Amino acid sequence: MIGAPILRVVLSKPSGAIGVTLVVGHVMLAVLSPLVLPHDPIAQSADLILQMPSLSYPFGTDRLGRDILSRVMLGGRSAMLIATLATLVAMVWGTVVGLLLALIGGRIDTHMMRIVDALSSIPGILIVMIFVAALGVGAAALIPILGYSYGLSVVYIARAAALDFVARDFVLAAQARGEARSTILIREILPNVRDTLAVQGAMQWSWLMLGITSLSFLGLGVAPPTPDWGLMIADARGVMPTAPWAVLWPMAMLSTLIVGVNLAADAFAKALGVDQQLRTVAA
Amino acid sequence: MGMSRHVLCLAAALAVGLVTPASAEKVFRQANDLSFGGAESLDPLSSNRFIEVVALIYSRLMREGESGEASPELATSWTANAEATEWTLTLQPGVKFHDGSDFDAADVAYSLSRIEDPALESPVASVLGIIDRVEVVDPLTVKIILEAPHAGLPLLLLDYRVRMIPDGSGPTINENPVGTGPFRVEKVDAEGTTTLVANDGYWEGRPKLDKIQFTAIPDAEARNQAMLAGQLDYNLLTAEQAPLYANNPAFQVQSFPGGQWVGAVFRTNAEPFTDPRVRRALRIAVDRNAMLTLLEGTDGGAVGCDTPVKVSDPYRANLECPQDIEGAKALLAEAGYPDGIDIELFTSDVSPGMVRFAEVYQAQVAPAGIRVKVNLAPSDGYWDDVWLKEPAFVTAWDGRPADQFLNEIFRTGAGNNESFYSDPAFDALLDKARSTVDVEAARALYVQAQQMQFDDGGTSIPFLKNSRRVLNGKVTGILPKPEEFIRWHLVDLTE
Amino acid sequence: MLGLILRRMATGWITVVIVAVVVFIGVEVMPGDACTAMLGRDAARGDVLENCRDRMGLNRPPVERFVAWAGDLAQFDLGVSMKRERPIADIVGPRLRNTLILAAAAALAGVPLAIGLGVMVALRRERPFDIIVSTTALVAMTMPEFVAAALLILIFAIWLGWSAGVVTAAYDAPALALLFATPLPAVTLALVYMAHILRMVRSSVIDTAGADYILMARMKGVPERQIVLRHLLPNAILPTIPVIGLTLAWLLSGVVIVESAFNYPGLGRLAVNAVADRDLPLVQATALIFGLIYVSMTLIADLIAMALNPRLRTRRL
Repeated sequence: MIGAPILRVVLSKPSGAIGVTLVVGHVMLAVLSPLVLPHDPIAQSADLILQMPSLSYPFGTDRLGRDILSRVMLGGRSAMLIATLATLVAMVWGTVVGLLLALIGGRIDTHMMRIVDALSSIPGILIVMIFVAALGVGAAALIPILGYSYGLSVVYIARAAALDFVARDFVLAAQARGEARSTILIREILPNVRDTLAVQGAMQWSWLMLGITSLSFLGLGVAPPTPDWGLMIADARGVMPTAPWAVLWPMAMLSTLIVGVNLAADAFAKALGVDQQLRTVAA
Repeated sequence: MGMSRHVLCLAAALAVGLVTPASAEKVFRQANDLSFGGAESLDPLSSNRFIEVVALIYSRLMREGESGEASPELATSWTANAEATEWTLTLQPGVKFHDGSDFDAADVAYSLSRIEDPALESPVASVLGIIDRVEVVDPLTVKIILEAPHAGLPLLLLDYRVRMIPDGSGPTINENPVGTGPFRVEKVDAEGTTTLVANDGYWEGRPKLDKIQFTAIPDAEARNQAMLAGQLDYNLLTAEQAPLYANNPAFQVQSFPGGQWVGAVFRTNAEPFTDPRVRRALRIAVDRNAMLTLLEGTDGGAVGCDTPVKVSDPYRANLECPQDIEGAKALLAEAGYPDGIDIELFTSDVSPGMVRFAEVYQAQVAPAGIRVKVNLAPSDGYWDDVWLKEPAFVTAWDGRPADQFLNEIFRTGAGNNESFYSDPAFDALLDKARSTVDVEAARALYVQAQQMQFDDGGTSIPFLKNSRRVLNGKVTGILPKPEEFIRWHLVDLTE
Repeated sequence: MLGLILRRMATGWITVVIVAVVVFIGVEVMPGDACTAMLGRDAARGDVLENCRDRMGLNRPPVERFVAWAGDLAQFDLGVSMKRERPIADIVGPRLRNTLILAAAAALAGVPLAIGLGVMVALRRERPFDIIVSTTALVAMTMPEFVAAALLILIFAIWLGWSAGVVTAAYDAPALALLFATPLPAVTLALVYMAHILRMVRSSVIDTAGADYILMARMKGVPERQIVLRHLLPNAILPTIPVIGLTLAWLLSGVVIVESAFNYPGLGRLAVNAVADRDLPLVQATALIFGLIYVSMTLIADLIAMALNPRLRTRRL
């Protein structure tokens, strides 16, 4: 899907190069880390509670005396998996609804968009509290909740991106030929908005990582003993003044991942020529 | 950033100007946690009582003595008949309410009989429902007649909600809170600021503080931040917050045995916990000392053998129960689980340490072949949907007297019997202990009951926590003891 | 134009109605109700629970309760809080004011600063200054609000002692007292706003700088200073203004966490408490107000966009 020339353009800019490096680094870490863990990430020790970074524990230890380095190496994996699945859910329903509305237009479009407005206006955290209270917690419940709430913004993007094309000749021609709506969507419109949506999906994914972290803060994320950046931050924030490293490392991992994905996605958007399209509808 | 910094300095200067009191009044600043979300009532018997304030404006008949026994407050002495069914109390003379009226036996009779008023639906009724009636003998003497013998009545009267209000004042007590306590109400706003002022006529002497002020801060982390930033004079602490205040002369940290505990409940009526061998294996596989250190730090509490009874309580059973992995394996094999057992333990962030308890439990029992899946439930709704409903869950309790605790959580059919434990022999033991006036004999019976729980109960209670609090460095007169021991009229702020 | 505005307002009301329905259903399916929440785990059972439910009307069918509530609302009556047993308007009023003060302070300080920084980095794009500032903005966006709040309190209140840590003023304190009691909640909120807006302005300025008329002006030899001030900035910043409005509306939900972390007595903290208390009328009222604010912000943003770009006036909205 992405040719070598595009990649070369992306890497030629410092921000693009930094972004791609960060993303590749994170992906390699997530894949390879189980092979190179310095310590058992779930082994607790009463003698090692909140140790400062040292030679044997370069990132220090946490409140249960566990090695923070091993834990941050593994800590993104489950959130990444949840974020990926939720992004898929969000992209699929958001794209389908957005494109359909763009194509149908008229009253239905107007009214449906008001519903989307309404759903967007309720603070996300309240929605999540309500959903989680009703569905319970765990990855199985988180994916639909996050997929739903992050899909709302995909609807806006997909609809706006498609609106640029619905009045173009090739779409009108297809309509004149009497082709079905689904065919027009898949054959004519989707290929034209594909790049926009791919870039949007990547950014969406990075913000989902952040969202999952915030849920861990509310105690709704990944279940122990699985190491998780969000749980690590939430667990250690109370000791920030005395043991800042316990918060710092998972925070840094999360930040570098999100920053990397966004820098890379920006650079790709520019290289693919879809950056303005994204911007006119973002927010 | 230059601009925001400028704004910050300006604002800081203004803030200082706003908060500095005009006179040299001694104002003691506390936070209230808004646990009833603004519906706080000043009726001490209400289920939404404004806990922090109620303790300061009303007095009890008795208060905790040095070692937790009942000692005089508004009642100066008491005696029981041989069957422990009739108790006669003599009252402190010369005590006046905040409105200037005299405190006497009629007020006591009214305050106690109110407990059973069905319209009030007071939670205290489950503790003191055994009171049949209260008779006024003379202005300074009352007689309490019980429905069934209870040798521990004075201990039950220590309940923090059993407080004296003027005869007949119940319907208006929330709007017109009149008590005999060291402070009286100036302004109440549970969601904003609540101000109490010294009761000049307090019968034990005028309080040294002029005012006590409560600010509503529902978030525990925000309360801690306020304390760190010097905006409060008093706050409760969790174990991991304590180091934040260490070696800082601006603060004093106190640690003392409390009664709070976090434990795991395996419902005795749910598979596979119906088998007492499984329940025992799940409890003896725990390394109690290591767990205490991991969760509460050194000097964080006292380990025990699954008893909820406080260390300071005369009826506590002191058993020995080191971690026994082999014993647990053997019990599981005997019960039909030679390859270990899989269980799902529910927990949540509702009370400090509940999630980490599950994490540590999970790691400690793993060598015994007990594979624990920790299930994090939302804190919102935990007590409605998980507690009492799932087969295994983490629970948390505040301390209470031995008799009350054992009856409340282990007696057949009791509302808070979370492990659904049911054994007529255990219930009979508790009944017998209640009617035993001799303290040593009663002690033997309560200890036996706790031994029964350790042998085949469903509740794992590895340790009782120490309580911790932090005080502003200027505070004097607060000893490192639980809240109910604080003599508020002696508390002072000194330079 | 007027017809357009009226139509837009009418659809705004539809949005608000949908919010009300969705939130009602949401709270209905949540386990527990106002009585179990209020009585707590010790008392929520048996007759006590039933009496409480009768008293609060929770035993009536949900649809009946919704209709009754909506009927009151149509007469501008928000109802009575179940838990606090006081008219909701009295509870919500001062807190709404406080949240608006907080949001306005954050926006007034943050937006101009963010626009200025955005322009500065755009004019130096892909140079170290840009990379540092843009990346810092991204990092600021990746920091959960609760971490940012704890960090600011640690630095400014505890270490430096320049400011109070959390708000101890009551919800009905004078407006200025609340704002000056501690500027930290406003600063936290402003940081999040700023990062989003800075990135947007930067992109817009970069896009505009590549436009034909700018290149033309440069070729004609118009002084660089004049190009930037006369042509580039007006054309780059004006279109971002409505988007900034939308960003502010979108980020308003951030006040929920910021208010809790700083004990700021606003609508966000109230909403969280109301959900925890299962105080349905109060949850409804706060959600409605958030919805209304969002709808009016989007409306204003649309109107500004239309005023700035006449072509939009004819487009169907």
